[in-house]
Amino acid sequence: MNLKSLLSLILSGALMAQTVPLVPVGTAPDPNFDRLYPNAQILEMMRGYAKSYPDWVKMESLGKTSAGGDTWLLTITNPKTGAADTKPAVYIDGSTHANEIQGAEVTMYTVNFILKNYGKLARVTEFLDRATLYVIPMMNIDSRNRWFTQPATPNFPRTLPVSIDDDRDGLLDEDGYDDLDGDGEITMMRKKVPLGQGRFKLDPKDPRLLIPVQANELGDYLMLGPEGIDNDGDGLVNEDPYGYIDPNRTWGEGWMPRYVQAGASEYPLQYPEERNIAEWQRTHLNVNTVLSFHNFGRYILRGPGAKSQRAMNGADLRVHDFLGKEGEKLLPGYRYGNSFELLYDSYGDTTDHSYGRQGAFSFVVELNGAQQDFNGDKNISQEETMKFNDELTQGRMFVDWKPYRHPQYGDIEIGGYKHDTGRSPEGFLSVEECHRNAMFVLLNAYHLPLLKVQAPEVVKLKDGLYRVHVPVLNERIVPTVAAIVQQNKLHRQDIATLTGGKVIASGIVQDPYLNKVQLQPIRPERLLVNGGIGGFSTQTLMFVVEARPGTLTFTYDSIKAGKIIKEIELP
Amino acid sequence: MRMISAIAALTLVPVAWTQAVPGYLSFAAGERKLVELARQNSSWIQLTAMGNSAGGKALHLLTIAVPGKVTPGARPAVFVGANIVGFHNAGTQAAVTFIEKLVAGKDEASVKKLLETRTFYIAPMLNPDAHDGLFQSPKYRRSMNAGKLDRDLDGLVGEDGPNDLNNDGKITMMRMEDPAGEWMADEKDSRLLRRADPLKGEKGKYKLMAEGFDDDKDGLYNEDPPGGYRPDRNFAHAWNESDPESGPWPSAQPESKAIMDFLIAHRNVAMAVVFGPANNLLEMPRGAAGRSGGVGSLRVTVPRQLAISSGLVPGKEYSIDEVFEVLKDSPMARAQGGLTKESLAQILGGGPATAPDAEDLKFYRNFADEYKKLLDKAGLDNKRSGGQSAAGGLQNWLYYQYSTLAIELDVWGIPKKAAAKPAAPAAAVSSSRTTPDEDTITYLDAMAKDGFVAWTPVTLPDGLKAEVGGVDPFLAITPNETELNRATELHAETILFLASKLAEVAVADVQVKSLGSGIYEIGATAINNGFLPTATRLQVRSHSFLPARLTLNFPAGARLVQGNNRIVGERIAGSGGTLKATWLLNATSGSTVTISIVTPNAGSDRREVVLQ
Repeated sequence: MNLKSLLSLILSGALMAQTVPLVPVGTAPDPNFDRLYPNAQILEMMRGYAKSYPDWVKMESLGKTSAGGDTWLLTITNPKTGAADTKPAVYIDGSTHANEIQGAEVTMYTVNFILKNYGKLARVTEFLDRATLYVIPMMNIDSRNRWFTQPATPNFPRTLPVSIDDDRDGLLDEDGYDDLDGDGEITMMRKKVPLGQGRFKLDPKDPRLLIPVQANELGDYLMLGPEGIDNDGDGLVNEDPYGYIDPNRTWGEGWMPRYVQAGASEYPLQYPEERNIAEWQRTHLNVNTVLSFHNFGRYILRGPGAKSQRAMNGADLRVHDFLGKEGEKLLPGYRYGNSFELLYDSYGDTTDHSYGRQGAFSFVVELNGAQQDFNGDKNISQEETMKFNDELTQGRMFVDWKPYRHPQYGDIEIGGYKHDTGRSPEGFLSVEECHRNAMFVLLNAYHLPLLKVQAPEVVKLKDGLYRVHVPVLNERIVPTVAAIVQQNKLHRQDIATLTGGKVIASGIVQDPYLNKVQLQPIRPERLLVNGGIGGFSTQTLMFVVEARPGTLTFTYDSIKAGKIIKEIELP
Repeated sequence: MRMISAIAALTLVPVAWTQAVPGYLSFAAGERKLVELARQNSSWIQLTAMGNSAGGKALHLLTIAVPGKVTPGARPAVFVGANIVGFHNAGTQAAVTFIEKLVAGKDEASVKKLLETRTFYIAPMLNPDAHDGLFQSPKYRRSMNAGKLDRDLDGLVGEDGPNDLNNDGKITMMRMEDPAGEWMADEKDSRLLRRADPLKGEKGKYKLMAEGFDDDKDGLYNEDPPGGYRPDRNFAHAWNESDPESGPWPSAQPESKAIMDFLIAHRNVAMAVVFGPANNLLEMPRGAAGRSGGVGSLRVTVPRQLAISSGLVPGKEYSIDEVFEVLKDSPMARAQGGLTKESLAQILGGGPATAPDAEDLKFYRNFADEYKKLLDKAGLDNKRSGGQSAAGGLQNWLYYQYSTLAIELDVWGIPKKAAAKPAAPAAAVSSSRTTPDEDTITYLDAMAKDGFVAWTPVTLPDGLKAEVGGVDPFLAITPNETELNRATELHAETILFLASKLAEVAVADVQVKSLGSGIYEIGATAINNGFLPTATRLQVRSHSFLPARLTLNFPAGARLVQGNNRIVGERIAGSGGTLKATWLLNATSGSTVTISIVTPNAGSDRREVVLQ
């Protein structure tokens, strides 16, 4: 079977009936997604899928990271229906911020789901037959490892594994957090002080909690921040911890220096974690959609990240809006919008880069949210979080306050939430979070451009001269060429050719009934389809061709939608 | 028809042959020269490479410092980078001349002092792949590095570059009669073209384009020349996201990345001289309209919640100065561990500086006055316009992001014949595709008669008629050898002058007063004896360099009664500016304490004092 007939088989749906579920070689990984997996286990899973589904799942390193790890990528597609890089594709990644652990689990859930359901569920089957999934589960792999293996907090470490002189004293990372009580957790410090010297008081209903005092009240507690001492004797506590370069503020598009954007690098893509991916993106322009999993707060974010950036082109905005709002339905409680409206200005982030540089529709998904609004007042108070801890986790999340003698602050107490709480859902909620987000990935996969050549209209102008109208339909929402591709001149346009005769004119039909055609004045045999084919729409192409009766071959070649071939009979 | 086929065979790649240009070094010759300079002066000139170009050629760097008390990496340094634009070969010559001047003057007192107390990092050829356009035949002014790029998005790469149609060894211009053309012959000089003015009833007669035929027959001329990206547009300040030649992202090109990596690793640099097409001392850098480097006058709006809780109006624009007064003692400021105007600008999204800070401009002006005097003395023109440094370019990055005083100098330009006209808005030599101005014609007639190629008819392969001619593309930036030598000599002197102006700190004064009971009051003053401040104003905002640090070190057992043993100064003014500290130390009589002032790029000093 050659590629051409295979493609027409797929398009006619004939192949669908022949598909059978994938049979793994040996035992395929079968993870539970009710927990957070350390790096070694995620890697074992990735290798396991690659081994169990050879040819379908490829695992490769895109290069070394700042701390000597690897940027591991999985490429997943049906190898029998074409090479991965020639098909439209979805790219997903996780754990850009090292503390945002669950991104990796969501991506692996997606991988597991599609491999186990190929040949069983029609939409999953269609996805792997006609498209490709690229997956980087652990983008910031070395710091993610550190979160599991060294004392951490829900918010730390988040950085790339590089040392930055945060306090500008000439020393690097010399005053970070310290696990003072040796319980393996960095929790919080608080201090009881004489009444009038504090800014907080104990919650009368729950002494584990502090309440800020009102303007007309005296306080007797101080909050002193995360566990730590003044390691370098400069009179400051925890002022220069491990890192900080924010891996989601160092991309190439819309990048700003550190005095504008905290956490930025010295220049865009200075560090290999992102640069490996950016270089890979340049040769993988078949990616139509990018989903980067972060946490937290339940958002589906699109670009532009900062209000000072150029507004998004209207056509592309409508595609983002459609996908984002559909996402809101699959992900109850999630809100779709751009970062600067929903959260904050963000310069040089993932969505801006993959949209602006790769021409892909791009979302950052902020997984999970605050625990539970027990009283339904649309606000989750610290009392409610504590109730969740006490009654739904039986106290797993919180370490109670214990006295400690601190070298600078004297007698204090140490206690608070453990590092694996808050930002990632508890295990009993984790599976649903993973599943719904995986389904959002599949929604994006479903909407990759799907081209069909509809019945051509052939008019014989005279003997040996024909005018052929070829309607090309895109059945899904994502266009074959995003507007940004033309705006930023990112890659070539779609090209339509007709072989088997001599093309003497060609053009893009603007109105088939009134015969309005935008002619291509030169090189008619290679019609550049300016703007490609929009989502859920048809673009008719015209060729005037000198040919004998017989068969012409029409080819539509799109970087982002693949290649489609159709034979056209001339009477 | 025979002529046509000969033309068709002649394309730019591969290069047909190379030609020597008196006074100028090709890349290979420049390489030999640098190797030789380093070999002959190996005790104080080191040749290394910052990296390689896209085409695999070395980005040579000379580190020049005579051994002295301080290692070269810790001395205040001047970075000199030339010809990243690729066609500014006069810049390369100026950089090389400066090295030669240091070699020749090594034993003169003033040069010797600089060589013993400063470091010079000199990179004369920053765009090796484009460097030889001047020496090729045909001569071809370009900035692209080696590589591939589909500029016109047609899926074909480098399929339509310029061609030397009249076989004169130069790519000049081409005019083609066309009723839709915008250009007409200038009545003042038939060699010139000017745009027709429809309001005067004038009709255009010509289309004007670079010399070449439509290689790929797409109706466009020379729209996709062979070659890759422009390293001189690949830096992150004001980078053009929609111009493919600027690179897929800022720093994507090996040249720009290597230069930045080197400079970031060498924070002892206190000043940068860029030899390129603009001249920041003949025309003050303006940057883009809008935000200056000064932070207080930035306009911002305050987020709704914060505005309401602070008594500000949501949505209303305030200056950072105003908001700072409201918020400086607020709970928010306490939560941030203190607020500065700079940190406030960051929090409120004040955006990047897009124009030089007024304080920094004072130093550009000051140097401009001296520079113009030097030019005048050397008999070189000081009235021509200097243009503006390129957005996304090296000078822009050096000032706006690296945050050093960065001065771009064009070495030479066509002299202004009469009184200065108002400065041109764009870079004076940004494009070869414009017709010459009156100064150029005057210069041509007087100095460079072969610099203008008379319009000569050619027939293009598709039968169309055109005329090829115009100004030699290198004319406006490539003086003859005699002029070049005067200009490069003057610029070598200029760098020596600038290098003598760097900030230089010292411990000026230490006062110890015993208050009794083992308590000592120690007062220390650090001074900047140099002319320049220890930092640009922009640097105070960007924090790109470490601050000056005045530190008291004391023996074990001694204890500070109050405060921190270190105070910092973001910017110590020049010509005697000071940084002061007072400490109360509990120590035993006879102990020795050390006061040190440390800066990244203005030197360091220390003094020991015995407490009595």
